[in-house]
Amino acid sequence: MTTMDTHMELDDFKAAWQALDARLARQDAVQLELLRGQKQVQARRNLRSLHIGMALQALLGLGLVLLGVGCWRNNLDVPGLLAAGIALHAFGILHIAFAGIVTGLALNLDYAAPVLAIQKRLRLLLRIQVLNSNLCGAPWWVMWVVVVIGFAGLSPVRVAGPTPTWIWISLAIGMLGMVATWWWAARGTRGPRDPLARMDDGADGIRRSLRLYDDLERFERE
Amino acid sequence: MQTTAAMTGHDDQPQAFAALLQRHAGIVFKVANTYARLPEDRADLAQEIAAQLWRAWPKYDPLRSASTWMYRVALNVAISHVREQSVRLRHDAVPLDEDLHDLADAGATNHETEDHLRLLQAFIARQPPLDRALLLLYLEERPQREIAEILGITESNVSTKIGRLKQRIRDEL
Repeated sequence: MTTMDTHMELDDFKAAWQALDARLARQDAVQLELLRGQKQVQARRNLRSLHIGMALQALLGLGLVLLGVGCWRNNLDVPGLLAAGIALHAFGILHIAFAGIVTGLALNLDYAAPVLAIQKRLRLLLRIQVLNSNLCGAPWWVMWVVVVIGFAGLSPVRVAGPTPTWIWISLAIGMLGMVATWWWAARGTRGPRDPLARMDDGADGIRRSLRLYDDLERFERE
Repeated sequence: MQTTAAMTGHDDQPQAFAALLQRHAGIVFKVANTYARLPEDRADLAQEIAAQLWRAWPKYDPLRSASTWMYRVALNVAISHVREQSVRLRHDAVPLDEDLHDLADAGATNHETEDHLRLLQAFIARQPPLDRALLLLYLEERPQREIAEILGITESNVSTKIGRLKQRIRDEL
């Protein structure tokens, strides 16, 4: 790249910008056709993936609520099964609530709003999505065992004896996995200079997003 | 009185949108060019902007400035696009000369303009997304009032930020 002998001023670049403008204009005619053909398809596709994801989460939540209610109503006198039923009920509500909040926020995003306002809204959406994955995703390390217990609780036949060992072992492994997942997720949200945050290849989406939002705060402050 | 695009006849909407897009297509391509360096990424971003413009179109108020509306949508999409890009597409991973070659039109501009353009592209690529938006709007010679309206900051803030941007260019180039 050529170096300039004198200091450049921002206004010196306006002529260069106009030259770029002319080049882009020559390409516009061809690209405009491309835009027309794909715009509606893309708008639908972007919305569809979000809707499908959140609809599935809400459906899963509904299933968990039904299972949980069935389990605790059937076992008011069995503390373990009662607790499992209540846990499933609460977990299901959490799934539905987060699906509703994320969908509501995403649908109300008005890209024609001022840049700073919409970027703040996107920051909020990102934080809720991170919370959603940590509260509704990571606990599945443990909750799959509770789902199995919940189905057992629906049966009218009571199995006598203590809780099977495999359930305790699975719960212990699940707890370890859940804590490790939360630790890994927390590591991702640290600053780029944090040694733990540098353990991956730098492609971590959440960390890069948060770095961009640091830029947003700096832009507001300055 | 009609106040939004949605209040125009339903059948007229695609034509009215196409006409507006054609009139201001430069905004879409300039924003895409500022935020995406690889040709295929630029095309993707331009399409994403057009898609969001189409989504936002029913709420567009024809009594308000079309360029302000388009810049807002385009910049919001572009900044979000930067956030979602994979590491492969990060601007600093693309050789500038190779990238510029794509846009170059041999013989169409003189050597000095070419040098300026390279310096400008390199400077733009180094700026955080919001500063890039401010730089783009300044180079486009948008009035400070409109820049403030697009970005959602005060006019005096725009003036301060432009002053800082000028100083940064003096220091860096």
